[in-house]
Amino acid sequence: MKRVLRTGVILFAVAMLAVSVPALAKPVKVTAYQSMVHKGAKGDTVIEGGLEIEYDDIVITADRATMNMDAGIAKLAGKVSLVQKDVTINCDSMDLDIKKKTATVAGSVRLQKRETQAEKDETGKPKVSVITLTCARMEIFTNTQDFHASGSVSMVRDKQRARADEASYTSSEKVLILTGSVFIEGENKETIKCDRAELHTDQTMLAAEGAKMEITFEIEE
Amino acid sequence: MSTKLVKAVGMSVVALLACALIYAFVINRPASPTAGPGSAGDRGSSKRASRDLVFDGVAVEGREGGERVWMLSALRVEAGAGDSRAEMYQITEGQIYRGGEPYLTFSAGRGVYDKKTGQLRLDGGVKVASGGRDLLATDEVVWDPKQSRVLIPGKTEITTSAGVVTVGHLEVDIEADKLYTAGDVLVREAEGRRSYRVDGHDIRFSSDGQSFEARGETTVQFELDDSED
Repeated sequence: MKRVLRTGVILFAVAMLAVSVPALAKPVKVTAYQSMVHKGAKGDTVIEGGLEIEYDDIVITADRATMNMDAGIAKLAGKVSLVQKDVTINCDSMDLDIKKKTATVAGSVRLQKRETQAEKDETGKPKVSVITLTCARMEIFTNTQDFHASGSVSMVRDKQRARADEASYTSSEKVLILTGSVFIEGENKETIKCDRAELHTDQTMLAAEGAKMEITFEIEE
Repeated sequence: MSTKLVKAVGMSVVALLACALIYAFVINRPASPTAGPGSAGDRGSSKRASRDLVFDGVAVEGREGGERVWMLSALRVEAGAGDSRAEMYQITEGQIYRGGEPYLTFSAGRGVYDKKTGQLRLDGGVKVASGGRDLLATDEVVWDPKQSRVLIPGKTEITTSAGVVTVGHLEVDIEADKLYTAGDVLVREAEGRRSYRVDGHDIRFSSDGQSFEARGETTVQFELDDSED
């Protein structure tokens, strides 16, 4: 009986703590450079002539946007750029959801990510590579920096190139999973064709799989 | 008790009473109950005496080009024969006209009309209403019929159905039906909802204060609950 009572008290205390912790408020700063029109309390804010949105560690710029401050969403268009830590994304349009921490981008999407490599240079310092990924559409999860790319996905890192129908990146594991008509070309012009491949973005490690796999490489005679 | 002591105590009490009466009715004399609101200090008896005409409970009308541009009811109006100004106290109901029709209504502690400039200056808790509902509250308002503009030089709270907008200064363009401001603007939405700050050089609110347009570099800052809906 005592144990049940003690458990109940602990559960109640935890519940009260959860209730008493106020919701974190995220400050958002929006700068319009030419024109801003706000249509009423529940209406949208239309920005034209250049803008910048800043929140968390993210800076987004665009030519124009329609934003709803209540919902924390924005539709941006025209030379859209998102910078978050070592990642820069350029595209034609973006659907941003600040509350859900997502951004869906489309049109000439180009992601660049600076990645510290496991391999070290001559001085003993870790190498830094720039990974460039282009695609037609991409969904970005800004809290994890994970993303899912689709539509003619193409990736370049140093002398390594890859193409696929889709790509998903998990930042915590530094793994890019390529799926659908995967084609990878290595530093020494070796090529791999497969259905699915896992590329480690911080090291030259690759795992390929598929029902039909084709590997081409040169042998010195 | 000796008669001398009783006499001395009695004299002291009388002297104290006399001092108290002199303090109360001569040195610290209360203001006249007929003095205007918020202006007892400014308008001493000497100033009042300088006015040639004093009216109690009157309606005053201002005209521009033969057309009524404002009208007000005041508890007291003072005007001097050689003075181009008329001072009006306890304005219970005033109206600013646009195209011959009432556009804004107001109440104020005092109003000063300057015949030379045509300006009507209101102060002392000015409240302005539009379309029958409260629009703004401020300390000072200058109505210039020649420019068709109401100038509010100080901090103003614009009340809208959606909330309250606080601005550092405001200009109401009667013809364009717009409210102009600049600098730091705080918008607090009704029912404890979100509030946000707007900072810009050229901010134009609609006449109901709910929507705005900003030109040039403008910053909006707000906070979002960091939780998914």
